[in-house]
This record gives sequence, C-alpha cells and structure tokens, in this order.
Amino acid sequence: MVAPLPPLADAPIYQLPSEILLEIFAHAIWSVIPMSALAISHVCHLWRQLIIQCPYHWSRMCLRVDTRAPHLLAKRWLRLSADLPLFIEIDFEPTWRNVPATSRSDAFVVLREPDDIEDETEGEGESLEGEGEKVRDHRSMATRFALALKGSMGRWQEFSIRAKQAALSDFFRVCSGCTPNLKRLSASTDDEGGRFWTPSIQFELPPDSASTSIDVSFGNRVFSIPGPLFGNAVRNLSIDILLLDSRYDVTEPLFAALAACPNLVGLSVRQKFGSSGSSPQPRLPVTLQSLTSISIISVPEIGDILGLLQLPSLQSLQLHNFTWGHSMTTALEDLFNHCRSLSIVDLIGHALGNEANLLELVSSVDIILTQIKELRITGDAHIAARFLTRLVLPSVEVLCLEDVELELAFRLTNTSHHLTSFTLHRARAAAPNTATTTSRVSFPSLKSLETLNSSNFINHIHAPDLKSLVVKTENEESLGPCLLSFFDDSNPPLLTLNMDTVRMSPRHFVACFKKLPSVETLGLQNTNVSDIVLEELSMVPRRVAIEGAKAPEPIEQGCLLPRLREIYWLYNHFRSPALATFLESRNAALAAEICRVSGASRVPHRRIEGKVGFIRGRHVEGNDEEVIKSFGIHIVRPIII
Amino acid sequence: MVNLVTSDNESFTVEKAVASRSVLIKNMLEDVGESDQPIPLPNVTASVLKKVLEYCDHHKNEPMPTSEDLAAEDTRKRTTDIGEWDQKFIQVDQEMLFEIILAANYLDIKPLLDVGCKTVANMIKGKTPEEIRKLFNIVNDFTPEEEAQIKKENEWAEDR
Repeated sequence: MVAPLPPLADAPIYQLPSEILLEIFAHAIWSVIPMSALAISHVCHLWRQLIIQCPYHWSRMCLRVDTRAPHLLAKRWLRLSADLPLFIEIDFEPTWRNVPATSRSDAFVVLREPDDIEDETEGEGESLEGEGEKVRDHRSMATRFALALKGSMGRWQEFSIRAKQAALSDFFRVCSGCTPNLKRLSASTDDEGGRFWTPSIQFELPPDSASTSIDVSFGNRVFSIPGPLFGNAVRNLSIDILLLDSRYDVTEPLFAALAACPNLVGLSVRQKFGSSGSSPQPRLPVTLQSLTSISIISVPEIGDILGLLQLPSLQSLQLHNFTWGHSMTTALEDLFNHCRSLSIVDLIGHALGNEANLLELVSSVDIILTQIKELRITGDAHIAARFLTRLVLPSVEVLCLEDVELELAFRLTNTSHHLTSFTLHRARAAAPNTATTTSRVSFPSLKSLETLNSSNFINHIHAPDLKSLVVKTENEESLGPCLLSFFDDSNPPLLTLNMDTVRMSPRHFVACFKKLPSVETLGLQNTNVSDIVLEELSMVPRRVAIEGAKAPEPIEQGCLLPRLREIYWLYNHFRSPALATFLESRNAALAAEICRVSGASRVPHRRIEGKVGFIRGRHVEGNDEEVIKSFGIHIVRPIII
Repeated sequence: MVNLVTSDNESFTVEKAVASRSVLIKNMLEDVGESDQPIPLPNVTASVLKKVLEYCDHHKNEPMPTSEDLAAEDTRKRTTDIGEWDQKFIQVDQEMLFEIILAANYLDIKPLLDVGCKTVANMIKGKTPEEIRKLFNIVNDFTPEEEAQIKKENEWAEDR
C-alpha cells in the first residue's frame, strides 16, 4: 500500500489520487521524448512508492551514456521492470553533452560510475591502434553495459543503440544470442569506421519463429543481417545514411541485406550525400516477393538498384532526388511493365548534364499503367517529357505534375477517366512548333485542383464538379480574366477556394466571388485583397421586393459568398476595421438567413471561424481585436514582408 | 436539454449532446430515460463544471473514443501533443488544472482527462526532481532509507 500523504501537504497536486498520478507518469515516460522513471522516483516519497511498484514504467529504459560504466543502474532498472518486455534505447553519443546537467537530467539518465568501481571486464575488448581515451572509455562501458543487459535479451521487444564503431562491436560481441520477442531493432553509428566496414549484429531467433515480424532500421551504415531466421522475420527495413562522407557505397551492403530479408514488405533508403564515386558492380538480381512499398531518396545508384530488383507485389514507389537519365527511365519502364499491382508512384527527379539527349533514345511505345491511382512527378520533369508522354493512366485519381509543358499535362490527364485531384505547378507554355490546345478540355470527375503559375491551364479546362480550388501565382497578370472565364464556363460548385500570392484588381476579386455562391471556406494569403473587396463582402443580404412579383428574390441577392463559414486570411492588404465590419455584417447575415429558412424568431449564435493575420505595420486598430476574437477568429502574429 | 446541479447548488442547462460527452452522465440519462429531473453532481463545483462544459461544447461533434482506442493506448508510445484549442483551454492556474482533472475523472470524460494529464506531464518533463518539487510545492519527505538509496542512484547517474 502507498503511504498516506504528509499531513501538512496542502499543495493542489496532493488532491490527485494515485491512479491519476500514474496516468501522468505514463504520459511523461512513454512519450516520444521520454522522461526517466528514475527522475520521477526522486521527487517525493509518494511518487517513489508509486513508480517503484509499477514495473511497466521501468520497462522503458532510455540511457544516454555520458562517461563510463552504467551497469549498476541498468541492473537496478532491470530488477524494477520485473519480467515485462523491455523497450531499450541506448545512446553513447548524446548530442547535448554540453548542455548543463540541471536542464537535462530527467530527459534521459546520464550515467557515471564512481572512479573506484571495479571493472570486471577490463581487457576483454580488442585494442584498436591509436584509439583515444574517450574511445577506450566507451568500449569499456559498452562491454560492461552489455554484460548487464545480456541476461535480459529474451525480454527485449524494442532495442535501439547508437554508438561509435568500436563500442558497437564490443556491445554486440557480448550481447549476442536469442531475442525471441524482438519486434523492432534500431542500430546507428556516427563515425565512418572505414569505408568498407559493415557492422555485425549477432542476434538469433528460435526455430519456431516463422510468424515473427521485426522492423529494422540502420543509421549511417547498413549492418549485416544476423542469420537466416532473423532475416526471414524482417518485414520493414529502413536505412538512413546521413552522416557519412560520400565515399560510402550503400549499394553493396544494401543488396546483401535485401538478399538476407526475402520477406520484406517495406523498404526505405535515404542518403544525404551524392555520388559514391564507385562504378556499379555486377551482381545478381534480388526478388522480393512480398515487398509492397519502396522509398529511395538521394541514392546516386538508384537506377542500378531498381534495375536489379524484382518486385512482383509492389504497390507504392517513392523515388526522390534522382537524376533523370537513360538508366533511370529504363529501370522505371521495366518496373512499370512488370509491377502490375503498382498503384502509387511519387517521383522527384532532376536534370544534370545532357540527359535530354539520352532521353531522345527512349522508345515511343505506350506504357499502359492500368493500376496506377496516384502519380506525382515533380522536380525537373520536363527533362523526361519524352518518357512521360508514353504513360497511359486510365485509372489515375490523383495526379501531381510540375515543370511540364501544357501539352504533356493534357496528354496525361486525357488518358484518365477517374481523375478527382490534380495539382499542376509551373506548367510550361507549349513549344512554338507544337499545336496548342484551343478548346476546353473536360474533367467531369475532377473535385480538387491546385495550380501554381498555371493560369493558362485553368483557361483551357471545363470542370463542372470542382469542389476545391487552390490558386497560387508568382505575379501572373492574366489570372483574373482566366479565373472569371473558367467560373463562367464551368459554374463549379466550389466549397473551398484558396488564393495564395494572388494579385488581381478589386473588380476581379468581387466578380469571382459573385460567381461562387457555394463557397464555405475561403483562404487568402499574401493577396492584394483590400478594404474595397471586404466592403463588398460586407453587404448584408436582403430581400428585394420587386413590384408585381409573387415571391421575394432569394435572400442571397446582393450577398457575396453567403455560405462562408471558415476564413484563413493571412497577410493581405485590408485593414482591421474593414475586417471587423465584415465579421459583424456577416454574423447578422447568417442569422437572418437562418431565421428565414427555419422561421425562427430567435437568432441562434453563429460564427465564422478561422485565422487572420495582418502584415507588419498594419496593427489591429481600436477595439477591432476584441470584435475579431469575439467571432472565434484567431489572430496570428504579423510577419516581416 | 439536460439540467445539471453542482455541489454548490448551481444549475446548468445544456444540450444532451454536450452533457453526453461525460460517460457518467450519458449512462445516467440512458438509465432514467426521458426525464426533467436534474442530475446532481456532488463532486463538481460550478466554476469547474463551467470549464468542463466549455470543453464538452467545443468537442460535442467529435466521435467518442472507442474501447479499441483505449486499449491501443496502452500498447504504444504516447504523444504529449495537445491540440491548439485544448492548449488554450487548459491554460489555467494549478488549482483549476487539478480540479478539471478530478472532474474529468469523476465524470468519465477520457479525452479531457488526457488533456489534463498530458499538461501536467509536459510540466514535469525536462525538469529535475528539485524543480518539480518547487513547481508543485511538493514536500521532500523521503525516509532515511530512501535518502540513502537515492544518494546511491545519484552517484551512479551523476554527471561528470
């Protein structure tokens, strides 16, 4: 039983019963950036009693090792966690070493062994020529810490370690053995450790582990996969190469890891630096029957890697920061032709050198992608135009294109009958000798459209069911007429309109709003919408009695955007009094509309919600802030423009 | 509409959808059926109930947490992130904060209890035991045996 509260304790926190205190501890300990259970146990008698009686909270062991042997604390931690599964995070290289201890002592436990503690493992580690005192410290500590943890390996559910090469080698040499409950393994090293160094982990799984599933992530090195049983259990493999120099060639160890993990479902490889400088080595293709998702970012050998992977179940493909070239398009074509289940493709490629010439060699046969539902091709996509033109996308629903000619945009969209969402950034005008589209192209199922600097596209489409429109420009003068023409032609039932960095005359803004009676959400960011436009929006809806008419005109007569409920108006040209007037008028307008429709005599409280922000120098005037906030509108801080 | 009566005998008339964010009240309403009888809340004062109802009103259209949600919470790492509106809502003095937590616990409003507990968790994270004691006016009341053990643990965990 927990001891009673001290009689003189009248602080409010003493009102909380034990179960709520434990709930608070759970949130603190099990959060992404955790608090140490040890720090909680050092606050007061009650908290110590509570936390010590809760093995669950000691089963998350986060240790950032600052000096030498942490084994005594680790042993106590393990004892308090009883026999529960363990979630262990060890960091030998805290990035906040120079932060004062008082401000970090409870984030992770900082360990230091008193100088007089005997080191029972002294001399077990291999000596590395030229290693400094700090490295020897880490190696010694790694070994002793590993000895303290080794007996608990059967309980490890999640295990994460970050250390330098020598400490890692020492730790895993001791902590080798069976980890039957492991679900997640993360290992990372910070130093280069030699160009061809491949760290080794000696974990094992029991023979009856066929249904075991493990997620593995490696940092800065591709560690060797420990044994066939372990390899068979790996479902997701994530590799982040962020700190190494460009000489490290990820391809060789990556293929070794892929060959060792035949049941992979997800693969992610991310590399910070560019070329490894090494030429591709001939190697055997690897078949990953179950792989459904692959993400490769900034890996220079991306085309070679793809060319050697056979992925019959692939559903999602993400390739970022690659260079468009012949090997890349060949690999993509092969992938598109063989992965019949591929439904999501996200490509960000760039131009480098004379790839355009290489792409001239690409064949002109159509590639029909019947299963593709989402396709995003951004970056310098124009360089691959000849390749992209061959794509036929009969089922695509979400399409995102950047830096392509209008002709290509229409070519790709024309092949789809199900397009519901289309994003087009920086559409290029058609080449002079190419026939331009003169009539409007119909998009009968399009619900959402986002354009950046592509008013020429808006000017050529018919989208009668469009619900959401985002328009961004970088000083496109023709936008106003294009939008008006589009609204006139399509009469879209827009619910959401967002305008970013749009410059139009007040006349064009008002004319656009007049054509959009169904809009409920309006975003205006960095536009030149001024007080004049808000004055027009502030007109109160009214019944207009027409002589001789049987019924009055609809209430919306004279009211712009009568259904407006949400506004996100940041850094535009209007001033706060105009906004306050608009909000006051609109509240009355909504109330009047509700009374008319419902026949009620009382006016229910209705609000327009959202955020507003004013550019620096245009302070909120008088009591406008009070008025604006009273409508539930959040005022964000000004920015410098 | 539902009539709620606080411990200091103040009445609050609220929409059923708002009151039903409390599982305790929801169950009571289901048990008694349609009735004009006021529901007594002897463990909640008017000032606290007013805040709790403000929360319930704001979240009245959100889905109630399911038993699966609650079960899943115990098996995964938690986030101490709090929504923007909830953060502003919970910016109150310590006494009111703990009163809200107690009321949420009594009324069985799990999302509000979470907001309160996360707020306290965020207050203690990043602080030393001494700073936590100072923040909440907690008495350092360890027994001599505990003091000795803590001293030992501090030696193990002492910074260089």
